[in-house]
Formats: sequence, C-alpha cells, structure tokens
Amino acid sequence: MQRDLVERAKKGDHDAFEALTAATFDRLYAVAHRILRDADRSDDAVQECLVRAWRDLKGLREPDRFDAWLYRLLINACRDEGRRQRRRGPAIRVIPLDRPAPGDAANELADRDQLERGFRRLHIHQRTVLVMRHYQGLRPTEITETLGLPLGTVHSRLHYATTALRAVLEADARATMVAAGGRTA
Amino acid sequence: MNRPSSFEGRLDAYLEEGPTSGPDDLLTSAHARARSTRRRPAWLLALRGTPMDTTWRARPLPVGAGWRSSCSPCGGPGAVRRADLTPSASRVI
Repeated sequence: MQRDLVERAKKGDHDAFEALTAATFDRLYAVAHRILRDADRSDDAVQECLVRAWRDLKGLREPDRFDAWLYRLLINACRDEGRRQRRRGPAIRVIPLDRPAPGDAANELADRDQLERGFRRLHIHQRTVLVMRHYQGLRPTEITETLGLPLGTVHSRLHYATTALRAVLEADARATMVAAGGRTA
Repeated sequence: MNRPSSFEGRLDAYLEEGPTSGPDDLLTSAHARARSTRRRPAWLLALRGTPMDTTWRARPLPVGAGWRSSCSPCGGPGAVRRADLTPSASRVI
C-alpha cells in the first residue's frame, strides 16, 4: 500500500504524497519537538521536511525505505533550525514559580527542569541520537540506517550525549547544593 | 507517582512528555507549500552527496550527465553549479 503511494507520489501525484505524509505527520512532529524543544521551530522543521520530501522524492530509489528517508530529511531540517537558533541566540523563557509545589511534586518539577536545562545545552546531533534511542526506541543499527552514519559514530554520539547530559545534571546538582548551603550558613 | 531513579529512566520519562501530534493547520500549509514547489530533476538528485557528510565525495554520474557537463563548461543547462555539489538534505537511498 505504502509502496504504491510512494510510486505514485514519485510520478507527481499530489494526493498520494499527501496521504503518505499525513500518515507520518504526527510522529514527525513529536520527534521534531523533542529535538528542538520549541513549538514554532518544530513547525518550521516539519514543514521544511515535507516540502523537501516533495521536491526530492524523485531521487528516492528504494520506495520501501520512504519512512527512513523522511526521518532523515526531518533530522536535517531540525539541524538547520538548530543552526538558525544558535545564530539568533538562545530563547530563554523564565518560568515564574510563585510558591514551591508540595513534596514529591516539587522534586519532580525540579528534576524535569534540570533535565530540560541539561538537554537544551546539548548539540543538536547529540539530542537527535538521544531522541531516536530513548523516545523512538531505535537500536543503534537502526539509527545508523536512518542517519546514514557509521555505527561507530552513532555509538560515539550516544556515549558523548549521555556523558554530557550527566555532567550537566551533576554540575547543576552541585550548584544547587552550594546555593542551599550558602542560604543555611 | 514514583519518579524513575536511574538516569536512563529519568531521560525516558522526560522525553515521553510533550506533544504526540502536530497542529492540523501545519499539515495543511505544508501540503500547500509542497503543491507550489518545483521538483528537482532526478539527474541532479543523483549528483548530490549524503546529508550528514561534511565533505563532498565524487559519485558516479548518471548516464548523460557527463555529456551535459562537457557540452556546457561555462554554465549551460547541463553544467553543475558549485552549490549543487554541497551536502544535501536529500540523499538518494
């Protein structure tokens, strides 16, 4: 079924292309949002991905690999968005906390906030492999196929991404402890 | 609710949060943009490099592309512009 749609879309059938992309749109958006952590930039990345897919679909030699190809276009669009974001400077949003949330909820909030800060400091390449591994649940060999990278590079990116995120979280935790110590002293 | 204690568990839970579907108007506008976008010819796509590459690598030319390039060394219809040889977002797979 999908193969048939891909073949028709390759020949210029817009309806087939729209049916194909509508089926994967939500998954594409979810992945883009997790990599970019920003709704507007995710919109731009997904839209760019779909336009590039239409523009370059004739070049897809293996229709059965349409999904992997589409994800690769999305990752590249996210990377381009990430570059633009770096040029514009970070979009920092201050979330006011009027009062501390009680008990476990406060810890959960702090935990999530810590991860958010740490994740945002990672390079787009590092975020990408973490999302593919931990959100999409892909194995390194599958990530290799989607990104077109050697297996060693994927392993290395996963390793450095995890190490970098752990380091950020640990530094954050130390800073919090020092601040708390300063207040009690 | 129990918080996952391991680093991996925390990361999984963190990434699980967030939207699972995109806005409908985004899909509509993307399709509208696609409808007004010209497609690239297959011979040009065959010349382009892999998307994650940082360097350009020579690839076998499709039949006819060499003839077009040699017939138009100064930028005729078959000439390959420098920009076309840069890494692309649309590797042929």
